[in-house]
Amino acid sequence: MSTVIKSSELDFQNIKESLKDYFKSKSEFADYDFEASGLNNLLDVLAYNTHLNGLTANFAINESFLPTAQLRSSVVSHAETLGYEVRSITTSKAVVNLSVNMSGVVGRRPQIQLPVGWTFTSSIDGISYTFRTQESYFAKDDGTGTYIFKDSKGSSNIPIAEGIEKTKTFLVGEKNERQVFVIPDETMDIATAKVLVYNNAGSTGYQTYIPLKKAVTIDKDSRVFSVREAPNGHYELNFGDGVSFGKKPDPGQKVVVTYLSSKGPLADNGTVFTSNSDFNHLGNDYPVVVTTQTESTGGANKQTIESIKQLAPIAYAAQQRLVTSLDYKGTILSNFTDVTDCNVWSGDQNIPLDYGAVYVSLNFADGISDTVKENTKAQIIGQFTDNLSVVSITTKYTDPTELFLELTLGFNFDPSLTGFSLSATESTVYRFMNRYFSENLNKFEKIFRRSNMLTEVDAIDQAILSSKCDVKAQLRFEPTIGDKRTFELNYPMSIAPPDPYTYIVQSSTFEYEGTLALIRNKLSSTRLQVTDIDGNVLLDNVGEYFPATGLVKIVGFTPEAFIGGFDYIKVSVVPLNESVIKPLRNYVIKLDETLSYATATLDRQNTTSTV
Amino acid sequence: MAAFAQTLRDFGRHATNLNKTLVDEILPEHYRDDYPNLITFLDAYYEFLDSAENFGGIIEELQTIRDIEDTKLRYLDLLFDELGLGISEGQFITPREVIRNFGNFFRVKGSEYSVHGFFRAFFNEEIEITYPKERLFIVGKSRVGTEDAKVIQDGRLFQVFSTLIRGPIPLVQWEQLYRNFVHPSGFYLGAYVVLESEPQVPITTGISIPYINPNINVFSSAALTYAAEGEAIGALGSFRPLPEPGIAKTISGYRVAYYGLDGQDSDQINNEALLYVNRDYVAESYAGELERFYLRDRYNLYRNFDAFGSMTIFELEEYYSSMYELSGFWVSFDDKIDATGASSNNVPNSAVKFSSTNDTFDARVWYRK
Repeated sequence: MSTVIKSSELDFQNIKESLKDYFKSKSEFADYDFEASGLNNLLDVLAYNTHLNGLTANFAINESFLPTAQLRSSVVSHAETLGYEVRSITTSKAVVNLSVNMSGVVGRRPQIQLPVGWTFTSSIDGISYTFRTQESYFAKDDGTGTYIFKDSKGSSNIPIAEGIEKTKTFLVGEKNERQVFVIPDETMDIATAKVLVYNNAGSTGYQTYIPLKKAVTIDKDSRVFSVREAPNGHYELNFGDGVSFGKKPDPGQKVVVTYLSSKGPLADNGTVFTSNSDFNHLGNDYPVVVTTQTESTGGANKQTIESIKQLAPIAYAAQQRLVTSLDYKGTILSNFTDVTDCNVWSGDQNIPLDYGAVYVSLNFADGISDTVKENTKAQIIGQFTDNLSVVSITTKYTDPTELFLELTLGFNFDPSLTGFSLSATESTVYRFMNRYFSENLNKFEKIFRRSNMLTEVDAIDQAILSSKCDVKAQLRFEPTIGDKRTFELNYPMSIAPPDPYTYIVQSSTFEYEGTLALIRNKLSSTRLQVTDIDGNVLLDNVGEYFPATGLVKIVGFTPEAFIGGFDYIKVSVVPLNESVIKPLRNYVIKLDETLSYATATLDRQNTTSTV
Repeated sequence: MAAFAQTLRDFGRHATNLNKTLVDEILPEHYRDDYPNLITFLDAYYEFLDSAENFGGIIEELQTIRDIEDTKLRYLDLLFDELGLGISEGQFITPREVIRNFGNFFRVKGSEYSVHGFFRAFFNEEIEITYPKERLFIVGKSRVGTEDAKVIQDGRLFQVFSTLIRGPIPLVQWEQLYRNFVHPSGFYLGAYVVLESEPQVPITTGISIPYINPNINVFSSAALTYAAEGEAIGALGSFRPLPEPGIAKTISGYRVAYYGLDGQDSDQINNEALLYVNRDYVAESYAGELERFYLRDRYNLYRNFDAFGSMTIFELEEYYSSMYELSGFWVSFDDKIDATGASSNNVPNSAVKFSSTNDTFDARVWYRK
């Protein structure tokens, strides 16, 4: 995909030469000396002017398309033409249980109400954030004076959202004017907007308008509104045209919009919430007891330009349906801020095959609890896949599988070409490896290509003359001490065939029969053995590996103890093709920093010494 | 109006050009007399500035830069990035036509219509879609024997969630594109590459060998009328059924059944099958399941089934061109004449069934007029 268009020449000298050539091609100027100082100066001025105009033209053309636009306002505008709603800042939400204890209170009411907007405080990294309820909840006396608040469906799980409630009031102008109501607040979570339209400035009667995307049908009387991001980052409240696309507020009416102004992701990971006030009943105050069910999550800043560019075309292709795997992916990433990465594949691509199913693997933001993860998965199914997917197709989740790479990177180093020492350069290259993985891998569908990485290694310093890299792929399994079990490790690539000199499969160490041991293949064989670190066989057959399918099967195995404080064992294999490692389906490639090295070899480029 | 609907540029007139040199007017009047070369020089400069690849030309391009019909192909690629999931315009023979239809294409993705459209647009090829589930052996329903060509479910191609595409292009060339643009996730995707050749086999015979149009999806039978050897059944309009005892019918009006045949999508197979039903040849010796035809092309999930129940095959055929079937589901219809006889348009009343499995069709329990 192009990201920049260069429509016109932007090099000053080239522009000047083109200009000169153009004049020379004209008969009137054929005999002019363009190198003469006066004319040359004039050409400089004109070339600069052309240069500036060329820049302007390029800016204009680049802003004309979604992939090449640089300004957020342009990107948002293009996304809107595709029917994509750009995400505003999003409030962080937590789920709590709320109760009030009034045991022993005489004359207590059988039912009490917690009003909308009840506030709580949570301290996160030393900063206090305000959370609030977004609807009212009721609680009944359980007979002992304990009141547990529940929603309309009877659930005691009460969502609370972070943010300061703000209100903007507008008076509707003349009928013929285009009615745009600007909300000058970049921190607005547009999903929390509530709009009431009063008959006039002093009226108490109002009509409630609903968000456009929640409308089932729309005609000239539909009371709907939409909020869109304005070019300056603020928001615009829009209504229908009063003809066919929703009701248009009448002149003189008062529009009141209420919303949450949010801190976004800063309010995530709140675990302790305290009610800001007690519950008053019959003139007495009773504390509201707050029990956290899930920590605050889901807060997000405004959708980034890159995210909009990636997801808006996918949303257009999806057309509010879930047919292809790409449709699922785009829909999930657009709607769930907890999900940082996602991969989706058809059941016919899964191992084992599972027809009639779509597999989804999700990566969540750091610190998300299992409860929140499960809630998010349930919401994806409940809100989207059940409603929009092909009938009879079911959605199934599978956790990401981390495939670690162990890189042994070697490079030739000529110290005469740099001011850095050999060891300092080794550290630089090692840090580069880590950075390369964090920037280019660590995500679904990101492929490791050895030559790409080595090209960048060679460019780190001119003293690095050449480089090479041995690659091993590593999966981990968690055996249980004393419980013999079978483990199948599926590598997403073919494994090198057995070799008479090299161990193709090799595990990390563990304790077995009272000694330090490891699993590795017998040389020239696919059979797996348990050996001590000197190579003496402790168990002759503990499984097998299958080079073509990438399967390592460890049968009836249990260690006596783990080594190194881990509760897992690493199993490393030599890939058949070390140049490219593709993470199929739910695999995510990461670097095993503890088993990766960068080692330099001195190379003074001396071609006269003998070997 | 149609021309304006296609492009922002009015091809019938001179190109709009609002450029006008003001050098002469802006500079002091005596410059005209004292420095005529300077004025000529500056005029030439602005002419340079307005040339095609320069500022003026580019600014002029902005007017139509997002006009699918008029913009340059290199800009069309940017529109493909927005509207076509980043596929390059070079993939298509008629990129402007393709990009104009992407919205419609995405709305029907997963349907047979979209599958055919995909191969036509991306590879300029016609393909054949079959559902292996139609060939599954079903205990108690299918007959044992090679003549029925039934197969046992194999957990791969031959199972319910499966689509088989036969075409001239190897799977590896189109699989990823197909999965991104069309393939209903969850279904098995299988492909056969068809290698075509036409060997001449010198066989002579004393009797006429019936020629069966391979495009006609008819399972048998004696009830069908065949064209004579060499007679082009596929050449529409020249087909004449041979008169045979018991099934000779008037052929006047049979063209009606072809009205929707445009050769542009998968209508052909089923329209030809429809012809037989419309002509009620099959009904003449209806023997149950063997004379069943499949109208597999299009099926709208939002279709009100009750409305279908009141339609004859003829009416269904009329409706047919605007329906979209989701790939993997089909509509079949019974061809047996109902006890109520023919309808006013001389077409047998019929029944319609919707099914996602290959079970036996019993029209009477479904919708029948």
